[in-house]
Amino acid sequence: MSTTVRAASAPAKATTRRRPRRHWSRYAYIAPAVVFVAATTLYPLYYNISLSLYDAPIQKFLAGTIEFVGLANYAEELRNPQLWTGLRVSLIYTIATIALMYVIGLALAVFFNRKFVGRNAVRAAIFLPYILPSVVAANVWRWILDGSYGLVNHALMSVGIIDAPVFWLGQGNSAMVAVVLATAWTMAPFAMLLLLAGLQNIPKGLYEAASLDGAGPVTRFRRITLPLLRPVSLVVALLGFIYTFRTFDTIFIMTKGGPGDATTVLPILAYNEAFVNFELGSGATINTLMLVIPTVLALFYFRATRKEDAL
Amino acid sequence: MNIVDHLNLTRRRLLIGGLGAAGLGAIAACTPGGGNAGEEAEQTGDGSSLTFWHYYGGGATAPIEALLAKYTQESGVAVTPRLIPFGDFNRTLLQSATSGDLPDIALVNAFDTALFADSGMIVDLSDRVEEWGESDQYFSGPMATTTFDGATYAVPHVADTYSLWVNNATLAAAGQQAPTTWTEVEAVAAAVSEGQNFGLVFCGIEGVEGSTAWILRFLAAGGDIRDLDSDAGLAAMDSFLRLKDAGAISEGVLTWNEDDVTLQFQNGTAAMMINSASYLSSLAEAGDLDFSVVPMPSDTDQFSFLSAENLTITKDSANADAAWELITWMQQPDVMNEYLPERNKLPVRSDTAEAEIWADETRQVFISQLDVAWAPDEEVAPVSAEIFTGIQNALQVSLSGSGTPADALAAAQATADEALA
Repeated sequence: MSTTVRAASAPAKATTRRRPRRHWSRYAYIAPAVVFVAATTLYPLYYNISLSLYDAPIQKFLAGTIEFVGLANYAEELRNPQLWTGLRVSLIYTIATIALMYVIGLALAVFFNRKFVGRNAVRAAIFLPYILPSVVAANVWRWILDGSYGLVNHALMSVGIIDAPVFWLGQGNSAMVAVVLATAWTMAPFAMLLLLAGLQNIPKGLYEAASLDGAGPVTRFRRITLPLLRPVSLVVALLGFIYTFRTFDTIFIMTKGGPGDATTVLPILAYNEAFVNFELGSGATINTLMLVIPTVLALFYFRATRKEDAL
Repeated sequence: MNIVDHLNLTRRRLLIGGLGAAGLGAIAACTPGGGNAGEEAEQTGDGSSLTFWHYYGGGATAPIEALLAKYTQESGVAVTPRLIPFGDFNRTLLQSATSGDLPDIALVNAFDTALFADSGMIVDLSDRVEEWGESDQYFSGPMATTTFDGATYAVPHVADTYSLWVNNATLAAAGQQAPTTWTEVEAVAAAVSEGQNFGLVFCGIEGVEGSTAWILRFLAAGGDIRDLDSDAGLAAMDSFLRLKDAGAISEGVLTWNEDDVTLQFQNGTAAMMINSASYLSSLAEAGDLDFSVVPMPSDTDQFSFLSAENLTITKDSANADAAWELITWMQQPDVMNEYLPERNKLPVRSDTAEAEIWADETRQVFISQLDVAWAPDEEVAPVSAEIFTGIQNALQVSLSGSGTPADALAAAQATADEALA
């Protein structure tokens, strides 16, 4: 017994002596990441929330005379119909984009889950929209959909589907469809990548067994592929939502939020308030309110992935 | 309550915060600096070098840089120009104001001058301008944009006005004359329209730029920018709706910027366009396009629209004397007359406009419009972007048929009232 105690106490002392060094080296390793996150995420977040508590038009802001108004900006914005319209537009845009992105991404994933000559080359080409700068992609879509010289009108008129040019970005509904299409096109390769990884994790034996039982391709897809892809699909949907909900550049370039407020999503509304109207307090307020939904979803995502890791 | 006193938000912190993800933070980024509206910049530099920020991109970059290089050659003062795209210019300027990094000279949009003066970003030049004694040479419209709260904060650099461009061949083929009133515009535009060839095009794109044509029509109807949902507002909107119903304007106007509009006119698919002098060179070089330019049509009144840039000295300049020297050098008629034609811009001084190069009939039309070119006054100017955006929204709602003109104008009025409150 005493031997056991001595044997255990000796290394314990050694550990005690070494602990401080290990302790500091541990923090030194993560310090760059902590500083980076603090400087680029936490502090701006804190500052944005702080600014939302002030009446801060640009003149007062630069003069250093902005006034603390507590939650008055929030009360005002929550009464502002533009905010609710922006929220509705944001949700329609985000949900429609995710649905389309998922369908395209899944179709591509299923396609690339089989072996064929040149698979890697085609897959790399399909991935192009995702790595293309969004400014470039959005401008390309704007030109394609232009009413006067756009490719879409030219094609549709050539085959007689329409007899006069349609100004896709000049009408509310078609403008929304256009920005959804452009964003989903950009995001689909990302969905494909995750879904393909999910597909490759499904044991081939399941498909073989189902085939032996007489299940056709559609049944195998419905009964094996879709259910077993559910966790990955959830990740795709959550990350897709968080990414899409904050999209600014694609819409700003294609429609600037128009026509009217048809594509004025919350980030565009916040931008206009801050950089067109120069009402920084109001812009910060919209920005803060805009964070609520993605934050809730992000927490849900982390909980879900933690559970998955625990399994 | 001062920002520094509350939540311990120093401007330095604001600057750091501004670099953050939310985009908004970028401007939020504030720092020291404000509160010195009306103060003269101190002369602490030796004046041997100057920084000059502008937003002249594309074909406009080379002429301004050549002009500044010429000054360096003549004076020995090194001038470093920095081009910031128009869309980012004000934001960059405001952000730099917070960190005390403004250039010596900022070439700013005329309508933004009051905002920057009110924000304390640019210095009061009243004494310098008075001592200089040349302000009476300037056209009243551009000069008026340089004043705020009784003081002069800028010197006009160049101007531009809007006129009606007419395709002579198209009108002649339809037996029509260039219109002089808005009633005639509607009749001529309807008469020459056929299928995808439209009588009139203008820029109605989302944002500030898309409001100009409607404002021109509204002012001609006797409108006041503070009173959008007036009879004049309805008259202007009804006029545009009649043009649309007659097939005389394309719904594409809501998606076209001024370059797109020019392309339509150049291609011959538009018989008339409302546009500025900026496109004189490109259209003059466009081969066999037979066009002429006539003054903006009248209704109750006759108005054009001023587009201009002003030269300002910022609060952070340590070389204010040297900056003033450059500004006054740039304003000399012979210097401007060498520079302006290449820029497709108009002189802002009457002595500059007397030169032979401005005798051209087309240029004379644009210059004549300087006398009737509307610009927002100093109360409206700082919030003009908000009001103009509201106007474009009303135009979009009315032309797309998603709301009545009365409702659309009421919404625009609410926006204007809130901005001016």
